[in-house]
Amino acid sequence: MVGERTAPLVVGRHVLMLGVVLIVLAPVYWMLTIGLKGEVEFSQIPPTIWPQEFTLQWFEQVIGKRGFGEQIWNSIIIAVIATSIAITVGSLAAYGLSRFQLPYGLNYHILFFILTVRMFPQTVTVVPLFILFTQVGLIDTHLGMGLVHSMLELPLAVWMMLGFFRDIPRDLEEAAMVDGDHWLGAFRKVIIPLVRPGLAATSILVLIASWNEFLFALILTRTEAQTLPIAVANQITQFDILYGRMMAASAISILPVLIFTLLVQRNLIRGLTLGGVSGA
Amino acid sequence: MSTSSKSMRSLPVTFEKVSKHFGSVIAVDEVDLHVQEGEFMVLLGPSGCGKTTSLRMIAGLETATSGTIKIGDTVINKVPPRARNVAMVFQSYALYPHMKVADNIGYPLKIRKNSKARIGERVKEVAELLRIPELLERKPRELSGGQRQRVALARAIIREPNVFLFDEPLSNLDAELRQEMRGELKYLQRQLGTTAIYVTHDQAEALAMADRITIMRDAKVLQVGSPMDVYDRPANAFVGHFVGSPGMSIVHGTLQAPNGWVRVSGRGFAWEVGGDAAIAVLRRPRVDRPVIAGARPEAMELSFTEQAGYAKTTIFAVEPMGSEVLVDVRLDENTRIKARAETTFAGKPGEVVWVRPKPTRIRLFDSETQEAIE
Repeated sequence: MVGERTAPLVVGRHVLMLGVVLIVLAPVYWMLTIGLKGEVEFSQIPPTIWPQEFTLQWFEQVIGKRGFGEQIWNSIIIAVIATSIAITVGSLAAYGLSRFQLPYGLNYHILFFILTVRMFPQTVTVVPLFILFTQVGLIDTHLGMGLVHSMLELPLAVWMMLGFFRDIPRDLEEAAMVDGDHWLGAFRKVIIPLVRPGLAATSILVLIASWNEFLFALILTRTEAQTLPIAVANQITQFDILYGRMMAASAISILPVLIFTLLVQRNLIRGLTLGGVSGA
Repeated sequence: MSTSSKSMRSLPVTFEKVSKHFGSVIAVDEVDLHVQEGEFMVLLGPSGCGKTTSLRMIAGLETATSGTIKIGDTVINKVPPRARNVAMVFQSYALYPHMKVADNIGYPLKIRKNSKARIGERVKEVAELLRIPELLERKPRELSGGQRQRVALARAIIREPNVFLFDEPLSNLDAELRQEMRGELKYLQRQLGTTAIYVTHDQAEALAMADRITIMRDAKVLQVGSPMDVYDRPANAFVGHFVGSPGMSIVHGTLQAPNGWVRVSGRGFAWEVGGDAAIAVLRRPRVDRPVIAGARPEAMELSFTEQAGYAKTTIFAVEPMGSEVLVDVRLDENTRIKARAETTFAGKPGEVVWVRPKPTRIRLFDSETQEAIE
């Protein structure tokens, strides 16, 4: 029933959404156009909305630069390691906490403890981690960075997955167990397929966080495991800020995540909104 | 089901002093129970009486705090659910939402590593038995409540379990479908000959389906008996009032036996007691003690004129039931009596009517213990 009274509401909502989209996309647009402008145009006042002198030189320079391909590869490997660990450990922890009632209110305390990782400033852990990593040989390695990123994102993974597991009626696992399955079989064949949207949504969030992480990557990598955000920042040199290259590098670096997100978009939207839906 | 009847083994279930505590809450308190093989046993009681917990202990979803549970001769207290060979139908049906109906039904066989061909064959067989072969390719969310119910039953049947467990399986269906499924479920159970334990809070369902009924309240078993037993000879006042629609009318009075005529009397009434109850009273004199008298609506006699042995009451409401009329009368503010009458009953609310239970149909209960006097 689309009544006449709802029409202005629909229009209003669309205007609002358009506004939000414009605000969100403005920096992206600015990044792209600077990457395509000539050098003189960067600082021109008033700024030009569309490049007057269109050039691909910055993109060519970035792509042609030695090491850029490796940096993309590093970012991918580290993000995959971080996401795998955070999702595996995070969902197992969340499943346990959602299904088993521990004594002394430990469920609550453990969940709170997990959250505290996000409570203190991350800078605090950088120096201890640097020393630790140097000693155990994890400095400037994919595994080391993957571990750090999974540590940073585990609280998110646990808390998000907790919501998805809690939404799944216990009856389903119990039915599977009475039907003859081991609890692990019930988990694998009944529970996991049902939280798949949640796994997708959580994976994307962890992946993006790892992809964009700057601070730890800056301190804990040198050459072998250097990631894209560092490559972008490296366009600021001792003498100059290479705006064109920086923007081109940024534009390239958002591409893989953008593509991945578009691919799993359906899962993502279902995953992010599933909490409110009840029933089978 | 001719191919399967040979492999089907129906087993008895036994509780010996079984208790279940959740922290300081006692959910099941030293329950003894024996469900015979092939029997349809209904666990009946108000919510929180321990009936569902008892069922879940048989399934292995709860562990007994103390006592022994046996299926056949095997003590199963420590046997995991998967190894008990019981099948359970949940109140929510618990169908796996991501699987097609055929996969839902076949799941128990798939876990037991049956061949694809064998599973497909059995799924078809069971689906036909439950008249749902056209649903096999659908997902649970595309089914109506009644269809989901049938799928859940099919999944339970396909295994050929030793015991069926039903946890209020019909409570999510509408009234008409519930009536229909009652008969069908009972018929199926008889066909398969498998022991069934069925939990419900609906006494009409219990009476309609059970071979025997176990009535529970506050974690204890109050009575075990056939539906007619439980209906005609309730072991205590609670059972009398709980079973039947409506249940027994309960009146508090004093027991008297002048010259061997047993009477129960109180403010505004003095009813004659006959039959078994009178014999029980005379055998062990309990005269001048407070008692509870209970009688079924169909045991009540109504009269528009004053008669000896009848109590004067006021009609509160008249409820036509189609084939008969339920008359709700008040002896005093707190004492309500329900009487069954012909549809020709002419009384109107507010009018005076005289009432007595047929002397042979009165059931007496001890005022203190609530137990039946017999």
